[in-house]
Amino acid sequence: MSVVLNITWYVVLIGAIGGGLFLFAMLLLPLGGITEAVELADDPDWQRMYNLPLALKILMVPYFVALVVLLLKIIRKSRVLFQNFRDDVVFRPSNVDLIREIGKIMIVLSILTFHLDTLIVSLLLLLLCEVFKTGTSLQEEHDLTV
Amino acid sequence: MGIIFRLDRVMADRKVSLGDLAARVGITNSNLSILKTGKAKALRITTLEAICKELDCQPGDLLEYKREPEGNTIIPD
Repeated sequence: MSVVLNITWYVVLIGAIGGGLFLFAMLLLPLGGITEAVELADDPDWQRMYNLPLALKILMVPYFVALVVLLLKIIRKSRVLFQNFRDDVVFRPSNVDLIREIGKIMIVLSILTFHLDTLIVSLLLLLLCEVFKTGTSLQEEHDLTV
Repeated sequence: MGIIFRLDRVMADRKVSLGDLAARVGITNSNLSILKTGKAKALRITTLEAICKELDCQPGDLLEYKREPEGNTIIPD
Protein backbone atom coordinates (compact mmCIF):
# COMPACT_ATOMS: atom_id res chain seq x y z
CA MET A 1 0.00 0.00 0.00
CA SER A 2 2.84 2.37 0.81
CA VAL A 3 4.32 1.70 -2.67
CA VAL A 4 0.97 2.58 -4.26
CA LEU A 5 0.78 5.76 -2.19
CA ASN A 6 4.36 6.60 -3.11
CA ILE A 7 3.53 6.36 -6.81
CA THR A 8 0.24 8.25 -6.28
CA TRP A 9 2.16 11.10 -4.62
CA TYR A 10 4.36 11.56 -7.66
CA VAL A 11 1.43 11.18 -10.07
CA VAL A 12 -0.57 13.83 -8.22
CA LEU A 13 2.44 16.15 -8.07
CA ILE A 14 3.25 15.82 -11.77
CA GLY A 15 -0.44 16.01 -12.68
CA ALA A 16 -0.88 19.13 -10.55
CA ILE A 17 2.13 20.83 -12.11
CA GLY A 18 1.03 19.89 -15.62
CA GLY A 19 -2.61 20.71 -14.99
CA GLY A 20 -1.70 23.95 -13.31
CA LEU A 21 0.46 25.06 -16.21
CA PHE A 22 -2.30 24.13 -18.66
CA LEU A 23 -4.95 26.01 -16.66
CA PHE A 24 -2.62 28.99 -16.32
CA ALA A 25 -2.15 29.07 -20.07
CA MET A 26 -5.84 28.60 -20.79
CA LEU A 27 -7.18 31.16 -18.34
CA LEU A 28 -4.60 33.88 -18.37
CA LEU A 29 -3.21 33.86 -21.87
CA PRO A 30 -5.23 34.76 -24.95
CA LEU A 31 -4.93 31.38 -26.65
CA GLY A 32 -8.31 31.17 -28.32
CA GLY A 33 -7.07 28.72 -30.90
CA ILE A 34 -5.91 26.18 -28.31
CA THR A 35 -9.18 26.54 -26.39
CA GLU A 36 -11.05 25.58 -29.51
CA ALA A 37 -8.62 22.78 -30.21
CA VAL A 38 -9.36 21.12 -26.86
CA GLU A 39 -13.10 21.65 -27.46
CA LEU A 40 -13.62 23.93 -24.49
CA ALA A 41 -14.91 26.94 -26.45
CA ASP A 42 -18.56 25.74 -26.26
CA ASP A 43 -18.45 24.71 -22.61
CA PRO A 44 -20.51 27.22 -20.57
CA ASP A 45 -18.53 26.63 -17.35
CA TRP A 46 -15.31 27.15 -19.21
CA GLN A 47 -16.66 30.34 -20.80
CA ARG A 48 -17.71 31.63 -17.38
CA MET A 49 -14.27 30.92 -15.96
CA TYR A 50 -12.49 32.42 -18.98
CA ASN A 51 -14.54 35.61 -18.74
CA LEU A 52 -13.80 36.20 -15.05
CA PRO A 53 -11.86 39.35 -14.14
CA LEU A 54 -8.09 38.86 -14.12
CA ALA A 55 -7.86 39.43 -10.35
CA LEU A 56 -10.25 36.57 -9.68
CA LYS A 57 -8.41 34.32 -12.11
CA ILE A 58 -5.18 35.05 -10.25
CA LEU A 59 -6.88 34.26 -6.91
CA MET A 60 -7.77 30.82 -8.22
CA VAL A 61 -4.07 29.94 -8.36
CA PRO A 62 -3.43 29.90 -4.59
CA TYR A 63 -6.72 28.08 -4.10
CA PHE A 64 -5.70 25.22 -6.37
CA VAL A 65 -2.16 25.24 -4.98
CA ALA A 66 -3.63 24.87 -1.47
CA LEU A 67 -5.81 21.95 -2.61
CA VAL A 68 -2.85 20.19 -4.21
CA VAL A 69 -0.60 20.79 -1.18
CA LEU A 70 -3.25 19.43 1.19
CA LEU A 71 -3.78 16.38 -1.02
CA LEU A 72 -0.04 15.71 -1.20
CA LYS A 73 0.22 16.03 2.61
CA ILE A 74 -2.58 13.49 3.05
CA ILE A 75 -0.91 11.05 0.67
CA ARG A 76 2.51 11.47 2.31
CA LYS A 77 1.18 10.97 5.84
CA SER A 78 -0.90 7.96 4.73
CA ARG A 79 2.24 6.50 3.16
CA VAL A 80 4.14 6.81 6.44
CA LEU A 81 1.18 5.31 8.31
CA PHE A 82 0.97 2.26 6.06
CA GLN A 83 4.73 1.85 6.22
CA ASN A 84 4.47 1.74 10.01
CA PHE A 85 1.70 -0.85 9.83
CA ARG A 86 3.84 -2.94 7.50
CA ASP A 87 6.71 -2.76 10.03
CA ASP A 88 4.35 -3.95 12.80
CA VAL A 89 4.32 -0.54 14.44
CA VAL A 90 0.58 -0.18 14.99
CA PHE A 91 -0.43 1.22 18.36
CA ARG A 92 2.19 3.92 18.83
CA PRO A 93 1.87 7.65 19.61
CA SER A 94 3.39 8.50 16.22
CA ASN A 95 0.51 6.75 14.41
CA VAL A 96 -2.05 8.50 16.61
CA ASP A 97 -0.52 11.84 15.60
CA LEU A 98 -0.50 10.87 11.92
CA ILE A 99 -4.18 9.89 11.92
CA ARG A 100 -5.11 13.06 13.78
CA GLU A 101 -3.18 15.23 11.31
CA ILE A 102 -4.78 13.49 8.32
CA GLY A 103 -8.20 14.07 9.86
CA LYS A 104 -7.52 17.76 10.43
CA ILE A 105 -6.19 18.24 6.89
CA MET A 106 -9.32 16.57 5.53
CA ILE A 107 -11.51 18.96 7.52
CA VAL A 108 -9.73 21.89 5.86
CA LEU A 109 -10.08 20.16 2.49
CA SER A 110 -13.80 19.61 3.01
CA ILE A 111 -14.27 23.30 3.83
CA LEU A 112 -12.32 24.38 0.74
CA THR A 113 -14.15 22.01 -1.59
CA PHE A 114 -17.58 22.16 0.10
CA HIS A 115 -17.75 18.37 0.22
CA LEU A 116 -19.81 16.92 3.05
CA ASP A 117 -18.53 13.38 2.46
CA THR A 118 -14.93 14.55 3.01
CA LEU A 119 -16.03 16.11 6.30
CA ILE A 120 -17.69 12.85 7.37
CA VAL A 121 -14.55 10.87 6.52
CA SER A 122 -12.42 13.32 8.50
CA LEU A 123 -14.71 12.97 11.52
CA LEU A 124 -14.45 9.19 11.25
CA LEU A 125 -10.66 9.52 11.16
CA LEU A 126 -10.70 11.63 14.32
CA LEU A 127 -12.85 8.95 15.92
CA LEU A 128 -10.34 6.33 14.80
CA CYS A 129 -7.63 8.48 16.37
CA GLU A 130 -9.33 8.10 19.76
CA VAL A 131 -9.52 4.33 19.28
CA PHE A 132 -5.82 4.24 18.45
CA LYS A 133 -5.06 6.35 21.53
CA THR A 134 -6.70 3.74 23.72
CA GLY A 135 -4.96 0.99 21.80
CA THR A 136 -1.62 2.74 22.31
CA SER A 137 -2.06 2.92 26.07
CA LEU A 138 -3.09 -0.76 26.16
CA GLN A 139 -0.06 -1.65 24.02
CA GLU A 140 2.24 0.27 26.34
CA GLU A 141 0.77 -1.51 29.35
CA HIS A 142 1.21 -4.85 27.60
CA ASP A 143 4.82 -4.04 26.62
CA LEU A 144 5.65 -3.03 30.18
CA THR A 145 4.04 -6.08 31.77
CA VAL A 146 6.69 -8.54 32.88
CA MET B 1 7.22 6.76 45.35
CA GLY B 2 4.92 3.62 45.17
CA ILE B 3 6.21 0.10 44.82
CA ILE B 4 9.99 -0.27 44.96
CA PHE B 5 11.46 -3.42 43.45
CA ARG B 6 14.49 -4.64 45.40
CA LEU B 7 15.65 -7.15 42.77
CA ASP B 8 19.19 -5.72 42.62
CA ARG B 9 19.74 -6.29 46.32
CA VAL B 10 18.49 -9.88 46.31
CA MET B 11 20.43 -10.70 43.11
CA ALA B 12 23.62 -9.33 44.67
CA ASP B 13 23.03 -11.38 47.86
CA ARG B 14 22.55 -14.56 45.82
CA LYS B 15 25.35 -13.61 43.41
CA VAL B 16 23.10 -14.08 40.35
CA SER B 17 23.56 -12.09 37.15
CA LEU B 18 20.73 -10.52 35.18
CA GLY B 19 21.19 -12.76 32.15
CA ASP B 20 21.39 -15.87 34.29
CA LEU B 21 18.25 -15.01 36.23
CA ALA B 22 16.35 -14.09 33.05
CA ALA B 23 17.21 -17.47 31.49
CA ARG B 24 16.18 -19.37 34.62
CA VAL B 25 12.94 -17.45 35.06
CA GLY B 26 12.07 -17.74 31.36
CA ILE B 27 11.81 -14.07 30.42
CA THR B 28 14.00 -11.93 28.21
CA ASN B 29 16.90 -9.83 29.48
CA SER B 30 15.10 -6.68 28.38
CA ASN B 31 11.96 -7.59 30.35
CA LEU B 32 13.97 -8.29 33.48
CA SER B 33 15.83 -5.04 32.91
CA ILE B 34 12.47 -3.21 32.65
CA LEU B 35 11.59 -4.68 36.03
CA LYS B 36 14.96 -3.85 37.53
CA THR B 37 14.90 -0.22 36.35
CA GLY B 38 11.37 0.35 37.57
CA LYS B 39 9.75 0.95 34.19
CA ALA B 40 7.36 -1.99 34.48
CA LYS B 41 3.68 -1.16 34.77
CA ALA B 42 2.53 -4.64 35.80
CA LEU B 43 4.05 -7.85 37.10
CA ARG B 44 2.50 -11.24 36.48
CA ILE B 45 2.07 -13.52 39.48
CA THR B 46 3.73 -16.31 37.51
CA THR B 47 6.81 -14.14 36.92
CA LEU B 48 7.00 -13.14 40.59
CA GLU B 49 6.62 -16.80 41.56
CA ALA B 50 9.41 -17.83 39.18
CA ILE B 51 11.76 -15.11 40.47
CA CYS B 52 11.10 -16.09 44.09
CA LYS B 53 11.69 -19.73 43.24
CA GLU B 54 15.02 -19.03 41.50
CA LEU B 55 16.27 -16.58 44.12
CA ASP B 56 14.85 -18.62 47.00
CA CYS B 57 13.18 -15.62 48.60
CA GLN B 58 9.76 -14.26 49.56
CA PRO B 59 7.77 -11.71 47.54
CA GLY B 60 8.20 -9.34 50.45
CA ASP B 61 11.97 -9.52 50.01
CA LEU B 62 11.56 -8.18 46.49
CA LEU B 63 8.78 -5.62 46.91
CA GLU B 64 8.56 -2.61 49.15
CA TYR B 65 5.89 0.06 49.30
CA LYS B 66 6.53 3.72 50.01
CA ARG B 67 3.60 6.12 50.15
CA GLU B 68 3.18 8.42 47.12
CA PRO B 69 0.66 11.20 46.51
CA GLU B 70 -0.74 9.66 43.28
CA GLY B 71 0.06 7.08 40.59
CA ASN B 72 0.99 3.48 40.99
CA THR B 73 4.39 2.67 39.52
CA ILE B 74 7.09 0.19 40.34
CA ILE B 75 10.29 2.13 40.92
CA PRO B 76 13.84 0.85 41.14
CA ASP B 77 15.92 0.26 44.23
